[in-house]
Amino acid sequence: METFKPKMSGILFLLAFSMLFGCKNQEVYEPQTHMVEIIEMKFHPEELKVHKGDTVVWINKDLVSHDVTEVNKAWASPALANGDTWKKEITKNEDYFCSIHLIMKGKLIVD
Amino acid sequence: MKKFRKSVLVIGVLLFSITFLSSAFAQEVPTLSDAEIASVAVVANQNDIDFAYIAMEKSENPEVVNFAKTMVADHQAVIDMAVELVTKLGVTPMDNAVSKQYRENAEATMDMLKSKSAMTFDKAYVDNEVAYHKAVIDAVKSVLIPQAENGELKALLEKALPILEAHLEHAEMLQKKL
Repeated sequence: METFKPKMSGILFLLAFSMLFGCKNQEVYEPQTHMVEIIEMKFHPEELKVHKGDTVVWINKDLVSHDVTEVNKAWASPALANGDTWKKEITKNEDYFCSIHLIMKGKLIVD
Repeated sequence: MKKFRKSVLVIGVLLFSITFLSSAFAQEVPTLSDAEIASVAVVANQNDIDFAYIAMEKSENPEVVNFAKTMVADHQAVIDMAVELVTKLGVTPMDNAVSKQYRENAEATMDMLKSKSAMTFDKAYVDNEVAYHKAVIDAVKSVLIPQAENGELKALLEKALPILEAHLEHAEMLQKKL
């Protein structure tokens, strides 16, 4: 009986530890990466829902250069030639456009 | 009764004019080979680059200058792709009635733009950009794409179309501000 007690408490400790570890594991969000294609003079998709901390990658599939510029010019990518990519971690809602082709607009919404 | 007869007459004349003009236009649709289409595409793009260089020199409006810079970069990119393609296909762009007409019209437009004062230049340039892009989009849709025989040439023209449409929308946006 004396030898059982430590074993039992050991099992209980391991059970509690694994439950705690398991719960923690469920709470931690693994940031995702999303793609926005620039094609035929549009951002596809024009509106994208992401989680805080996710990364968005823009890829230019057009013949002409584009950029990705925040609507108040708080941040901007360099000019992206055909095939170029640019990425940014998203922490809040963002409205953006192409400063080369002002009619091209996009939106990121953080859930 | 007199008023009614007059209205009928006016409608009749209008209908006749539309029918006549439509058939005349239909008869005038040129038939172009791929080498001629390539020439039209290069000339049409080069014309807009030439207009843009005048704007970059004469305009004092940053939005107009930025638009002109975009026209130079985008139309040059299309020309580069066209040249790369015809080189690959072993086709030499062939001058023709359409490309000659485009070039002559462009010379008249450049004279007109150069004659404008700083006060009137921006409106003249942007108005021309709207009209020019509408005309080129129409030609690409109704003549160049349907007549292109080579698949890669057709694909290049189809890729250029949204670029031209975006330019038109951008020019119309500027036009409203001037």
